Parts: sequence; C-alpha cells; structure tokens
Amino acid sequence: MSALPWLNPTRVAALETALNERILILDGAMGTMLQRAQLDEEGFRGERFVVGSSCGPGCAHFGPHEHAEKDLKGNNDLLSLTQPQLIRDVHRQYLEAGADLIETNTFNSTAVSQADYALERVVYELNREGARLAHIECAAMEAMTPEQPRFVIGVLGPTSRTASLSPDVNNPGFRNIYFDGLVATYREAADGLIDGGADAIMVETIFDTLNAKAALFALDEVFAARGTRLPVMISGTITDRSGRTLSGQTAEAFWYSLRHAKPLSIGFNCALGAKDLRVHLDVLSEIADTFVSCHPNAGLPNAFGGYDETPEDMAAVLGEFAQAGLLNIVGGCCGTTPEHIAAIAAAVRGSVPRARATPAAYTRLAGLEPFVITPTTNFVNVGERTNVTGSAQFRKLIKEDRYDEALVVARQQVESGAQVIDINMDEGLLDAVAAMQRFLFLIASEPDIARVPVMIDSSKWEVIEAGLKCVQGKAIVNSISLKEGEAAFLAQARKVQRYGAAVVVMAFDETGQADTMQRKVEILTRAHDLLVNEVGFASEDIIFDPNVFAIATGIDEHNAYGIDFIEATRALKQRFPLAHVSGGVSNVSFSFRGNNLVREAIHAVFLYHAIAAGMDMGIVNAGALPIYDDLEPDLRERVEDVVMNRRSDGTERLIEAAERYKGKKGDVADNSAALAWREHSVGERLKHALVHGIDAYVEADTEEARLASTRPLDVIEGPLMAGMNVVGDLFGAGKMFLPQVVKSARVMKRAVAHLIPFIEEEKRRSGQVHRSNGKIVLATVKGDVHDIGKNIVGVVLRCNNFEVIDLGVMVAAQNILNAARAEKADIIGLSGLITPSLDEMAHVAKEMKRQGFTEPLLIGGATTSRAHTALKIAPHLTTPVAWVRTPRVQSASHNH
Amino acid sequence: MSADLRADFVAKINADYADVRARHANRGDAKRLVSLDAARRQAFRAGEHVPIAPKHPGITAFDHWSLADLLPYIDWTPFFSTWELAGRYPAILDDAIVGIEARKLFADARTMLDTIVRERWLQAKAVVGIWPAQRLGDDVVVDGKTTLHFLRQQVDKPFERPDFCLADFIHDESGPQDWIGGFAVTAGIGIEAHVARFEAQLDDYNAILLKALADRLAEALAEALHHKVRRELWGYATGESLDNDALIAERYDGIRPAPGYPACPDHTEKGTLFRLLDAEHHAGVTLTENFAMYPTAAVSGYYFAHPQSQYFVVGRVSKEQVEGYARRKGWTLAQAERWLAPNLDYDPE
Repeated sequence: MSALPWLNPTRVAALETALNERILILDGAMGTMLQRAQLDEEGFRGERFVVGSSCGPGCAHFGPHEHAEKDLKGNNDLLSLTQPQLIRDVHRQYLEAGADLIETNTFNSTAVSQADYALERVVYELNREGARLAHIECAAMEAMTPEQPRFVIGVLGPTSRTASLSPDVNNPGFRNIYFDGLVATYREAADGLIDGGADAIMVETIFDTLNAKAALFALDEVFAARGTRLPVMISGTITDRSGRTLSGQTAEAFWYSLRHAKPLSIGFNCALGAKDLRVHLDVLSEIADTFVSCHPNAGLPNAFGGYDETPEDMAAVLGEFAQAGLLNIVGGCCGTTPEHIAAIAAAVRGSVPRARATPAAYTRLAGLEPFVITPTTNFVNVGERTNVTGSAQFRKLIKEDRYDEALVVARQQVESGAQVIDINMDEGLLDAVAAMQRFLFLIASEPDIARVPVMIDSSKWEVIEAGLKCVQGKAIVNSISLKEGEAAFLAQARKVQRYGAAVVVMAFDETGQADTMQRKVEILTRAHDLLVNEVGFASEDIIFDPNVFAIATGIDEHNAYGIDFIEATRALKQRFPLAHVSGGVSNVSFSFRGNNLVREAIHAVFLYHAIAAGMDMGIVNAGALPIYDDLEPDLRERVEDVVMNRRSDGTERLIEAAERYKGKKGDVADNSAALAWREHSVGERLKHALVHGIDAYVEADTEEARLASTRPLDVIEGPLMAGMNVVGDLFGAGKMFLPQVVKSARVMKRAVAHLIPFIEEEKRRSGQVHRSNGKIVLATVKGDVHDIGKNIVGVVLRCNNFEVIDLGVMVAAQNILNAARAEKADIIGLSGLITPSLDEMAHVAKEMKRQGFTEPLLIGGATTSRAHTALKIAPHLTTPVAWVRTPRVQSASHNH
Repeated sequence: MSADLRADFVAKINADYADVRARHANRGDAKRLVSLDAARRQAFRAGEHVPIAPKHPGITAFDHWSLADLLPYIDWTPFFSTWELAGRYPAILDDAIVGIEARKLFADARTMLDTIVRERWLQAKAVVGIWPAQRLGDDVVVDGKTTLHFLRQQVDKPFERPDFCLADFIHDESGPQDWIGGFAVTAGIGIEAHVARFEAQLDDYNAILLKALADRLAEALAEALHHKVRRELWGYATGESLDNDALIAERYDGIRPAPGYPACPDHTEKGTLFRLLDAEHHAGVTLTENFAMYPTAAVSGYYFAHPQSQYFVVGRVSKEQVEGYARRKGWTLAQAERWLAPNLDYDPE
C-alpha cells in the first residue's frame, strides 16, 4: 500500500497514543437498543419516506418527502435519517458508559443490503449521516472530557451475500454477488463515512473474507482518489462450533488473507460469546503485528433469539482476557447495552494493553487454512496438473465442460501433497477469464481442495485479475515481469498488492527472456528492488522464477540452461534470503516428451541440485517425483552430465540411454484420483476408510492388517482406534456430522466383526482382551418402543471406544439390572420418548438403590429433562445420575 | 469413567441438581393458576358455529395406503433433526456448515425411499372414525356411550383469552348436533425384517435411516389422511386446496391433537381411542402397557372440525382438577397423579 498521508494526522496520532497507553473501549449493540424503542412501520418511515410508489397525481403528501414502496420496519440504518435523535441518544449512552470508540449506525448501509428495502439510492446519505450523528455526539463528549478523546468508527458491514459461496447448493459455481459489485457499493459507503467525519473505518462482522477483500480494495481506491487515508480496522466473525468463518477459513488464514491492508487492528466480533472467542483471539494475539480487537455477543442466542449474558458475566470474562494480555480494543456486539460496556470498561481499566506481535518474516499464504513457508518447510510443491498448457488431460476436461472431473484432478494434487495448486486456462479456444472464474468458484465449494492456497497462472493480466476477484485466501500471482517496461510492471504490481496476493516474477525484461545466469540475476534483482521500494512489497511475498528451459535439445547454446538456473538460484537466495525461487520443473525435460521415465529422472536430478542451491518452490506433478538416490546409476550420471553441463557430448549420451528406456511405462501412473489412497500402507488404508466411511475394502484390509500383526487386538488398538479418534475429534470439533459418523462406525463394526473370531481365539489362548473405555448397558424402558436416539447414542459411544450392550426396547427394569450385573457394566443408560417412561426410569433408579447398584445412571430421550432428572430420579440414589442432552450442531442459518 | 475427572464431574452434577431442587422448592407463586371454576368460566365458546355432518360417518379403514402417494406429504425438517442436523428444509441443504452433509444424507434417504416404495418394504394402514358427539363439562361423550376425558388449562389469562379444553370445540346439549373424529395410522408394518437384515450386516446407518424414514411416512400419512378427512370423509372443507408447505404450516381449518401431546397430555386416553377405532384390527397398531404405539412409526389422534379449534398447552393443573379427573376416569388419586405427573402443579405425597 502506498503511504498516503493521513486525512487527519492529529486524530490518528491521538488514537495511536491512546492504543499504546491503554485498552480502548468500543461501544455495544445498536440494534438491541433500538428494539427498546419498539418503533412501528411509521416510526421507521418518519416523515420523509411515505408509502406508495411515486408522487403521481394522487399523491396527497406535502412537504419534502419521497416514496418508498416496500415495508421499512427493521431497517435500523434508515433511522439515521428518520429518527436521528434516537441514534444520537444511543451513541450518547455508550459514550457516557465510557466508550472511546463509537461505531456508526451503518451496518447495512450498502446497496446490497438496502436492496431489501429498495433504498439503494440513499446509501451515500445513510453513511454520511451515520458518521455525522456519531461525530456530533463524540465531539460533544470530548468537549466535556477532553482528556479522553472519542473516535468515530465508520462501519462497513459484510452485506447479506457471500462472494465465496453459492447460495444454491445444487449449483456450487453460482454466485449472487461478485467482487466488482461489492467494491462499487463499498466505495460509495466509504465516501459517505469519510465525508460524515469518521476517524477510522472498520470492516466488520466478516463472514466471507472475499467480501472483506472487496471492502479493503474499495477503501484503497477511495483513499487513492482522495489522496489521503484513514486508519482501517478489520473484524471477522467465527461461526459457532466449526471454529471458522462462514466461508470456511481458520482465524490464522483469515488474518493472512487480509493483512496486506496493514490495518490498525484485527479482531473478531459477533456470533459467539466472549468465552468461545478466546481460542481464536489467542491465535490472532500471537501472530498479528497490529492491534487486536474483540467485541463478542452477550453469549449465544437463546431459544427466543435473545441474549442472556449479563454485564457482569461479560465483564468477568473480558477482564480475564485483558489480564492475559490478549486485548487492545474491546466492546460488545449483539445483545449488549451501555450497562455491559460500562462493566467491561471497569473490568479492563488498568490492565496493560497487549503488545503487538513481531512475527518472523515468513511467507504466509492461505486457502481455507494457512500455509506458512518456514526454514523447515524445505520444498514447496505447487501442483501443476490443473494447467491446460501443461496437461492434455486437464485441457480436454475443461474444453469439454467436464468441470466435475477437472475438480478431481485438483483434489488429487492436494491429496498427493501439493501445498499450492497452479491453475492455468490459457488456451486459444477457451474463454480463459470465464474458465478461470468458473473453476475457482467451483473449488471454493470443495473444502478439501480449497484448503490450500491457489496460484493464478496466466500470461494475460485480465485473466489474473479475474482470478484474484474469486479467491478469498492469500493467493500467488503467476506471473508479472518487466517485459512491457517498468510502468506496466509497477501498475500490475500495485494491483496485486491491492488484491493482497504474493507474486511470481519472471526473468524477462524489455529486451527479452533472461537466458544467461547474469541476466537472470540482474533482471530479478531489478524487479525485486522495484517491488520493495516503489510498491511496498515485502520481500517474503516475492517469488523469483529464473526460467527453466529445456536442456539436451541438441542446440549448443541451450546446454548451460540447467546449470545457469541453478547458479542464478544460488545467487538470488544469497542476496534475498526471504524471497523464494521457483520454476516450472517439467520444462527442463521437454526434449524427452513421450519418455516419462527419462523425464522424471531429469526432474529428480535437476531438483536435487537446484534445491541444494536454494530453490524452494517448484511447479511439479506432486505425487510423481522419484527420489534421486533411487535412480539407476548410469542413467543418473548421464542426466547429471547434461543438467550440470559437464560434458560436451552429454546430450548424445543421454539420448542414447533414453532409447533403452523408451516404451517402459513411467513410474507416474495417473491413478484415478479416488483410489490414490489404495497405494498407502494397510494401516493408512484402514484409517482412511474409517474417516471417509468407505467399506468396500474393509474386510480385505483388516485381514491384511491382522496377518501383519502379532495379535488381532493390535489392529483394533492401532489403525482402527486411530481412525476412530480422528472421527471423534472431527465430530467433537463440529467438522464432521452425525450421518458421516454413523457411516464411519459402520466400517469400524465390520472391521471388528471380521476380527472377532480371531480375538475370541486369542482370548482363549492368552486371556488378553481389548481394553475399552468402559462398558455401558443401554435400554429403552418398559412400555416404550422408541429407539432411534438410543441407537445413535450407541453408535457415538462405540466410536469413542465404549463397549455398548444394547438391550433394545420395552425392557423391564429387572432385565436391565440383570444384564448390568451379568455384563459387569460400568454405566447404565436409560432412554424414553413418552412421558410415562419418566416414571419407569424413576422406578429403575429406586430398584438400583434397593439392589445395591452403584454404577452411574444416564438418562436420555425426548421426554426427559434436567429438571425431571434432578427432581424425580436423582433423589432416589446416592450414586451419580446424569441427564444427557444429545448435542445439536448449529447450522449457519441458526445464528441469528 | 475417568479416574481423575470423575469426582469433580459428579460433584458438579450433584451441586447442579441440588440447586434445581432448591429452586423448585422455593419457586413460590411463579405462575399462578386460576381455580378450576374460574378456568371453566373462561372456556372457549363453540358459539354460533353450525357443525357440518360427516359424509362418511362411522369407521373407514385403509388396508394398503399407497406409499408413493405419501411422498408429496413428507415434512423433511424433522428428519434432519433426527440426524442432529439443525435447520429447516429445504434451506438446510444450502447451509454453509451442514449443507454438504445434509445433501449427502438426503440423497441416501431418497434412494432408500425409492427402494421402500418399489420393493414394498413397508405397508401403510389407517383407520378413521367420525361419530356423533356432545360435550359434557370437560369431557366429550361419543356416540352416546363412550366418554373421552380432557383436561383444561388453568393459566391466569386476561378475560378475553380462553382457558382452553379440547372439549370446548364440541357443542354441548344446548347446541346443535356435533361430531368428533379419531384416527390411527402406521407406516411401519413389515419394518422388522428389513431392520434385522441391516443389523445382521452390522449396518447401523441404514437401520437408523430406515426407521427415520418410516417415521416420516407415518407423519405424512397422518397429514394425507387428515386432508382426505377434511375434503371427503367428513367433507367440511371440500374446496380446500393447499400445497405441502401450506399443510405443514397448518393453514387448514380443524386440528388433529394426539393423546400425550400438550393439548391432551394423558397418554391413557389412547386406550379409549383405540377401542373406538378398533385400531388393532383395522390398522394393525397396538399399545404397550404405557400406551406407546407399536409399530413405532405410528400416529393417532382426534379430529376436531370447529373452524376456531387450535392447539394449546394444558400445562400445570391444580390438585382440584386432578381429583375431579380421577373421579371421572374411575382412578384413585394416586393413579391420576402417576399418569399426570408432568402436569401437576403440586408435589404429590
């Protein structure tokens, strides 16, 4: 970002000083406060917005007015125009409660959100007035307490649409909002906020990082147009159990995707209460080299959509955060009131504000998940197969519109270990822009592909730019160069910065491609310095591509191409240790097209030496890289002669050897992507089958594992439990859901069933048994027939290594107790759906006491409740009783 | 189970439950009930409504209701709940968190549903009864012979809001001739063999899926049957034409409350209903000793046709009402307190 001057340097200085001295207080909810006014339709319309569609001949309204046809009740932002006093009152109350930072009432003041009310035309005004009202109150309060400046934070909300996700589950490539549309409305909104007197702009409640990128892009353009800038604050929203944003990013990936904006602060707000946000704040606190903010909801929403956390509750938790050194800015979101803010302010007063982190200057990329290139990362594999210029198979799929299969190629690359995937659609007969956009949109809906960062590859800038507008993570642009001169280079580089991507620079300048070692180093040094000094790029966001050219072409001038690349790499890494060196490895073996075995040998040797010289990234067919040491020695030597240009007859000798290997199928089998896992060890295969619920091979694999193990129990305690632990963790973390868990359990059951005869045999011989976490007897009580819930509980318990004895339905109390005794159960679990079953459960409890059972009793089922268990069951026992509620994963739509 | 965590865990639960008991004991006058007399004075008045005579009074039984015909009536939202995926259908399929899982599950469900229909895994049976009826206090006398007993709300409400009792929707002797309906349906006949087959294959997933689908089909049958009753068998809404979403939203006249549910919380009334319908014979549905229906995938209830009939929650009832109810049912007070346990406003014994 260019370092434009601040619009108001004194205000910025005051803000930064305050942030360095103490934790600043953000205000609380506007909506919650406005609800108290209980305005009706008329209240929202005020005098200005009358019903009806237009001022026709029948219009009986006098005075300045305009027509608004749609209902306006609920359009809180509109109140800035129609009930400004209300808005000012709320601001004043928060200021009196001690808020330093007041957010403007502009959360929905974008064209996208106002479209619901057909009021797109007032977007600018809403923002300007929103800022102005806040400004009036802040200035008034500041006049009264001049030692505590009060700042207007202009809010840009997320809108109601997602640029990264399709609203139509049957059409994952579809979008109902695009980057450009968002930029346009955010520009208008930002202009309003700035004109109205905002001190800073906050992009808030971000549930889709691509929407936020559009907002930051818009801000950048607005600042550039005005020639001055404001501090920018960013706050994201983590969606409930999943621990990620709605669009699927982790907290860390979220930060990496947006830090190019060099914001004043980064943080999280909404969706969760303070306690649940802690773990995510921890992440930010550790990695963010800027201030950290937090404005949570007053707990999770209750059954009526209200919020229950009291000011004391919130203040206690947030006070702890402050003492733990996690905060610079704190406030409240939905459900909070001036009382909350006052309590929070009191709780954090005196705490030392968080010290900004100083993370190492590593390259930090992101898909849905972060990808950091550290000194221990060694070589970064960029998958090359999703490239129409490099893969005939992929080109065919794209041209024939078989995008579903094209996605499989991408998935295969990621499964084979590609840490980044390179996507290229440059083909004469393709509309590359459309293809790039479509493919990127489809990838966004596939979490197992989208978790890695993408490399957007094209020789045309418009294709690259189109791609950048589709990607919420931190991507890599491949590539830009000085081919068209410095001005064009800088313009494109600035754009890349604005979109927040890292960049590959080709060794190409105005005079042509760099074909010698000196030219490569010279051009790339020049490019690096321009990027860092003129555009403000960080060195670690720069990737050099010194050009990999084909060797052994028969043309003498080409003989040094291999060694030139290697030496250029060495020089560049010495000069610029934070930057990376990459290359399209398969180019080097182009002369041997059709002879895969030899091609791969060349790749292996080339990479061996290039990596030693400092090459740390390569565009390769991840999953098809043979190991240097495994090469047949004679072939290896001949290849090395050519790569290192050691002999003048190197090419001839290699060609001659190549003849011998022709016709031999290469090691690279383009396995059908879905079966790549069948190549792994049997333990890995079992684990994979469990996690993905694939039962097609489970008996064969289990038998194979049994034969390879000392005891059949080892198979259970090894790969099977490992797989179920993964399932349990994913389920517990809200990443896997019940139907999938039940499918995984089915695989487990079949594997165990296969082993049982052998285990029985083993038990007879040695007395060894599998140690479970415990044995539980489950039953639906007498008189009741419902068992789906009970069965589900049984499945989940088995997944967690409990042994479950399920007695079925309509089980009399005595039968339950008899079974518990016979099986030496550790726990008894009772289920019931109809109300009479409650009685029966109390009866079981009484009998347990009378017959001397001490095992814990678990109670569940639709008719049961904590209250009933406490009042009617627990009193019969002195041993533990617990009511169990089946957990429900919140879907996204249930967060409002 | 954990050695080190157990003590704290147990202590925490014990403390929590002790707290619940304490708060319950001290709850005092939280929600005042009005006396039974006052509640009765504030009954819903059936008013001027003139009941329409049923076109097909008496018992009508359906031995093989076509499963294919039930598919349009299925309400999918509770299906996803069963699988612990919270959200309304069809929005849940688009949900950002559970949407993908929901879609996979839904696809499996549709596939199995097709198989169920095509291979006739399940049989759906139903029985309807529509009889002349007359309100007698808080009860309804059916066909001059059998009495259905109901409970009344005793909530302290403003004067214009009635304290409902289901009997209120039937005219008493001072009004015109009225009728009441009853039904029992099941879609679970024949399910055992298929569940057993899945269990033999260690296939919990498909066993649970089948049961959940049978439940959905039973509910769909209850909906379809109610539709047929309103339009043909009773025929009080011959002009009605509502799509499935409108049906799910209950945009029709009349209700079908089920014994055991909030408007009539006494499960034992199913016994009377089943006798009136001869449900075991006509629909293959029986009751356990605690009045759970078997097969599990079954629904039963009453039909009230009054245009202002609505669902409500009886909630807590006073000892006075319990004593009166016991007398009407021929129970001892203790028996009544057992069957009405969740509704008691007081602690018995």
